[in-house]
This record gives sequence, structure tokens and C-alpha cells, in this order.
Amino acid sequence: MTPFDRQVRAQIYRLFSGGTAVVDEAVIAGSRGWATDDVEDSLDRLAEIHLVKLAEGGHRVGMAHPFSGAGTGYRSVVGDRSWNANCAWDTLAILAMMGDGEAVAPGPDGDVIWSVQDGKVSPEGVVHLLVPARRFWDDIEFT
Amino acid sequence: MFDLSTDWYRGRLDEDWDPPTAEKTEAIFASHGLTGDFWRLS
Repeated sequence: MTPFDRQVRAQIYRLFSGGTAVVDEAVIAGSRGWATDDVEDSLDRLAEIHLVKLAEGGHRVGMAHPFSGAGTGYRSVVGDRSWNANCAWDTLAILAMMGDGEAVAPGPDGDVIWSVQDGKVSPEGVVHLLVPARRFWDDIEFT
Repeated sequence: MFDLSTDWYRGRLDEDWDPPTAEKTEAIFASHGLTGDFWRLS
């Protein structure tokens, strides 16, 4: 990463973790007074090395793991704050980063909710991964 | 999975974070009992 790419990556995470739901080149650039073109170029480089996934057709950040730039039904809740996640794994990862709370996943009969308190997840459950690790980024949205 | 997430995402919010190498990532997986071909990156 270039030093600027490092700053852009960190700002993406600062925005998502701070509760910004939509993070795109304009939001990133405006938050730090950067040129939009420079941010777009940086986003392209970050996407190339799989540090973000850009939404189709533009420079909106679709994924900056574990944060999602879209409503997926997976979300993490800490008090009155919540974040969109990409999957069940990421709901737990957000709580690992942000604090104790609830990991919420969509289920066939309504939301499935795990509680995380002091590093303990309840109730127990199983997360099933279909895609082997070396192929995660073949189609990261499917993964 | 929560413990794995804690290890894998440690430092991700920091500006000086660097993505782990494939070997480091495999070591993280292995430290949580995730071994075998499914979890190999190299």
C-alpha cells in the first residue's frame, strides 16, 4: 500500500465503525479534504489487493470486512449503535472490534440472534462455509 | 468463531495495519483448530 492508500483504508474503517452507512469516494474525500479523483484511484488499488470490495459501477465501498456497505440482513448491535455485516462471521467480527452486543443473522423463520458478552457467544451455533479459504475472493459476495 | 474473529481482525482499525501474509493467516486459522486443505491459502 502507498501511504495515501493506507490513510484511505483507515478512513474507510473509521467511517464504517463510526456509523456511516454509505461510504463512497465523495464521503471519504469530503471527510478528510482529499481530492475525489485521488480517492477513486486509491479505492481501485485497495480493491485490486482485496482490501475492499467496490460496488458495481462505481466507487462505493460494498465491503470492507467485516463491515458491509449494504443492508444484508446481517448486522451487529451494541447498545443503540448498529452496523451492517456481510455474513454471520462478520457479525461476530464486528462485535469483536466494537464491543459486547448482539449478532443478528436472517433466518428462514426470522432473525437468528447471538449474544456476545465478555467474549462468550450464546447460544452455541454452527457456521457453515461453502468456499475454501484460498477461493474466498474468487467471488467474495458469494463467499 | 468469535475468538478467530478477534485474532484475525485485531488492529484492522489502525492506520498502520498491514494485511497478514498467507502464512500468517494460515497460522491464525491453525491456532483455532482450522487446519486441512479447506483452510490452506498457499
